[in-house]
Amino acid sequence: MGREAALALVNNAALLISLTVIYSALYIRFKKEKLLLQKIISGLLLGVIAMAVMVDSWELSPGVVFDTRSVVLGLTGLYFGFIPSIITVIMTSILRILMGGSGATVGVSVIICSATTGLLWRYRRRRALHQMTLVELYLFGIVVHIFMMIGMLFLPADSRNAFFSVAAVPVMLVYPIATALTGWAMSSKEAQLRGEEAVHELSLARKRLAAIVEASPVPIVSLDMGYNVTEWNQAAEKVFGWKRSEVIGRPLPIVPEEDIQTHRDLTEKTRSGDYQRGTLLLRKRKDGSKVVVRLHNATIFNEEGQPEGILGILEDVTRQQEAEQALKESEMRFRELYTNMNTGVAIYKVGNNDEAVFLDMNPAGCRITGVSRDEVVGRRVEEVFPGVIEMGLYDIIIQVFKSGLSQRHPLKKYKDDRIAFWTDNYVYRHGEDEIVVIFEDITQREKTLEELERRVKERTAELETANKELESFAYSVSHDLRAPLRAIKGFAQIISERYAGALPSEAGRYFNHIVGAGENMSILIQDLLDYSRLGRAALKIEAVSLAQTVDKALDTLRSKVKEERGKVTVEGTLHFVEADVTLLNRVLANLIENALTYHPPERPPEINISSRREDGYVYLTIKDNGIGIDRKFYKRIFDIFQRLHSAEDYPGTGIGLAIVRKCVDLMGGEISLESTPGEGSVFSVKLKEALN
Amino acid sequence: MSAVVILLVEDNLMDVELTLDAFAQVGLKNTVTIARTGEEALNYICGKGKFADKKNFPTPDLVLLDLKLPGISGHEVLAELKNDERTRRIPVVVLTSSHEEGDRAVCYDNGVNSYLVKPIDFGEFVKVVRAIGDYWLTLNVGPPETLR
Repeated sequence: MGREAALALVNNAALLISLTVIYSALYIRFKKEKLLLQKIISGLLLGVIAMAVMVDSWELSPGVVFDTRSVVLGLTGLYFGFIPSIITVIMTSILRILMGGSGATVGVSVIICSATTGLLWRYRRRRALHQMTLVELYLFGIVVHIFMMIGMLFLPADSRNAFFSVAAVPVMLVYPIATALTGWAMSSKEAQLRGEEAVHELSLARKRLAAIVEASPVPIVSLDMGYNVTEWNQAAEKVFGWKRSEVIGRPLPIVPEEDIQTHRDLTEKTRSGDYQRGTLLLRKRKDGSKVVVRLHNATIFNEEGQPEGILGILEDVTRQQEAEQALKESEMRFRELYTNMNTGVAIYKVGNNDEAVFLDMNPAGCRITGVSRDEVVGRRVEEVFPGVIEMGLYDIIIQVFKSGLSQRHPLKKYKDDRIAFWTDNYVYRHGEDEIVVIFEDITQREKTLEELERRVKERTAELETANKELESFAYSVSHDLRAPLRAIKGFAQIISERYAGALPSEAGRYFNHIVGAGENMSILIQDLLDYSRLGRAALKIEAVSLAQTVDKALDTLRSKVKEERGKVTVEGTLHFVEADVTLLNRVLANLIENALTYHPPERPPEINISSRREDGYVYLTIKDNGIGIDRKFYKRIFDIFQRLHSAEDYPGTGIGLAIVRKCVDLMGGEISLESTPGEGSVFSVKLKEALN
Repeated sequence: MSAVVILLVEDNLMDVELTLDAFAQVGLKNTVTIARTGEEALNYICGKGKFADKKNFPTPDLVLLDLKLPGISGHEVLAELKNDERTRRIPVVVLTSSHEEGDRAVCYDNGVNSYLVKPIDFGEFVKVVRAIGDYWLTLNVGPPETLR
């Protein structure tokens, strides 16, 4: 061939190598989606190489130029894609045209054809270029140059002949090989770089995974085929206590002694594909304490698809477990309570149209109402217990449902054809539409109460009768005592008067004592008669004027008032009260008389009478400036025959206040006393106000 | 008419003695016959049994009647006397220790002529007896001759 030809060949080879370099430098390092700029730059560079190839051609014979542009363009189309190919095609076409000559058209068409073939092959191959084999590339080379041959047929005759006689065979021998070799170099490079990238990706992925595992709040552990720990993340350290260094390469320390075999079996199961999804296991910590974990695991496979270990995620659910356990226990507790309690609980669901349907009833409730749970669940309340409507409970249920406010009804009677009982009900709403009725059977209690009331009534009646009998007795006794008293006094009087002269003075004196005692007895009997007479006469309660009563009393006591030099004042207006005239007269007469009697001899009595109204009652007060009464006698002085002074100091039998109290009691009022010994007393009588 | 006959119907002997003493005090010289029971009183007034002898047991011109008697009560005696037309006109003065409304009501319903309460005090009692003497034996004009 000659030195020129050899040189051109070498140059071409070099340029073809540079193709490889450009490819690996610019193209395959970057991401899959190449930037437009990348493509343009690659295109330009390739264009330059193609043009360099064309310039560096060798002339086989006049007008017959050879270069490896077909290889370059074909490979450009195949490996670089559309945009770089277009650019390269344009650049080389322009150059070819500028170079001129008769084979220009053919030259350009060869350019275009090669590139096109490359592109078509590329898209058919769908970019798995790194997998292209040498053979395929050779085939590709053949195809490109066949098209080239076809193109050559259109050369002007003499060029054509020259070409086919001289060049065709070498071209068809060498060019496809060049194509294959260059392509193969590019593919290998790509494969290599892909491999590198894959390794890099893998490394990144590994690092990412490791970071996730470390950051995970949940323990993640892997074991190898020998059940030894290969991975132990930070969470595992925290939850279980062992440090990474303590466990790597050793059997899983968290498995309790007695569970080691089950643990191994579990591991085997996992390896054979039966992954654990949320299995609860009891494990232990470094300090010995127990921990409940939820296990999720999977097998780790190696490149050949063989298991090389298992990965497990162990959620510490101890606290949850404890909580669940506590909840279960609590639920049990309340369920037992519900089942065993002695009080009935009925639960209803209230739906549309105010329909109340049984959801449940506890055993006590069933017992009280005499039905079984199965009989009632799902049925309407009024179906099972027709009496609820009349009882009012149905309305209450609806009310509580609508308002959400609980209600308590301590006494309700339930009655239907089958049963009757008294209940104490508490009704409340649970959630949106459940009504709970808690009811206690108080029939027994009610019966007892009724019985008690009856007994009390009986007892009271008995007491009243006894009282009446006693009064009767007091009356007849005092009545009957008068006759003998009359005899005692009478005869004693006769003797002391008639036979005064015949008797020694002592005898006379003694008979006077008898008369005196008889006199006292007479007064006592009279008082007793008065007192016991009070309850016997029928009571006539009417509106009575206090003012009039006071006037009457003062009239009666006129001489006494004068005698004691007393001063009685009425303050303000006195009101009207509901009272019996006779009894009220008695009360006032006695109280005023007392006030006139019990004063220090040197201090004339000053009596102040007033009344006030309060809450439908009238409080009448009689205030005096007398000797007063010590606090400890406040109650006693109202007792019958109770005296605080001797008869010589102040006359009286001790019946006055007893009568006052009895009269006040009979009229349904109250009497009270406040006093300061030495200064005076205030008697207060409370009676119902007369309203007209 | 000679001395007015008074029938004192009283069970209690001491009361009887006091009454007679009071009569003496006052100077009433009337014949006072004592009947100790209601039955005896009625028999006497109606002249039953041994009292048929009206000469010795004359019909009283005034009956002083105590209410408290053994057997039939003073009320019954009063009722009997006032219901019988033969004895209706005889003035009956109830002389009792009872001040009771109930007793008074029954007596007046039965047509008693007067109701007096025996005081415990003897002095007072003498006054009452004097009053009886003054009024019933002196002032009051009795019924005409009754059917004896």
